[in-house]
Amino acid sequence: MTKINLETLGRLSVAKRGDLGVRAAAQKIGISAATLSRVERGYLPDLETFRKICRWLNLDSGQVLGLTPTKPSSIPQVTVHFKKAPTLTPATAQALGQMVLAAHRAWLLTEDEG
Amino acid sequence: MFERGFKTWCETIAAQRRRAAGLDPRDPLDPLKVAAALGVEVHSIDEVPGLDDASRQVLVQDSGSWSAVTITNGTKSIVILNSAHSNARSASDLMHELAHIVIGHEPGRVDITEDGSLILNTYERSQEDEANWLAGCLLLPREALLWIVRRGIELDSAARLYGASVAMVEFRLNVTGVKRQVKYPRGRR
Repeated sequence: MTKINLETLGRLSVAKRGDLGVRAAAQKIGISAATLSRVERGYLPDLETFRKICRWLNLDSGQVLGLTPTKPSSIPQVTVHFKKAPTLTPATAQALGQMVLAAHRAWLLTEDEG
Repeated sequence: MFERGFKTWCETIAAQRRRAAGLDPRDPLDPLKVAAALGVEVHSIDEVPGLDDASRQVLVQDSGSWSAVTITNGTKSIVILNSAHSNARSASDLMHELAHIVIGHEPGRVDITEDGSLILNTYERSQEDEANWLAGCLLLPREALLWIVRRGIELDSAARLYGASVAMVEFRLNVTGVKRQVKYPRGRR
């Protein structure tokens, strides 16, 4: 079975909605048309939007994301300020993830454990 | 859009922060000093130890999609700014992040996927709007705007003086109605 990931999610959305327009499908899902359109182009939305799309596709969001189980102390709390829409390209999402983890390791982890 | 009284509260906070820093109500307020007063460390992407070059390059190249990140472990917060942005833009971005802390917004939990991507739990539009408004007030409070208009200071000079962008000065002048207040003061017909 092919593993479902963020890129295939966009393709599954396109396949499921078929002739249904982006606007109508987005309304059914409960998100904006712009957000659905970006997800179908492979952009990464916030988790709540993500879960709504997964529900619509009858998918387990945890399985799609492949969330890594981590110790509570190693999960940084983070707020991100986006310039425009709250979606990211996969490459930027990955680079931001790496930056958050690196900064957390360097500046905050010692204090968490101490 | 905002809860009743929020805008007045923001002006009060802007005045309080200046008083605490020994400044007059219309003086420019350096975001780095506000960060220091709040105990928040500020860094650029280049200063993150252990960040691989490929990630650093992506974050600089796709600079349009993110401005700043605040990371907290509950007791300590650090802000990482996008160093590809102008000083004025960075000042606004930093004030925005600090505004989240001053208002007391609960930081959104982040998850890291198997491939190491960052995914936010939720994106709170209302919190972003509140932080934007307070950041604008902290950089350019009403007292400063009144002074700018009464003195006839040009937009770009005002922007330089207050470490903000010209767009931010224009935005604040428009949304606060300060221009109108100076042109048509109360009691005059």
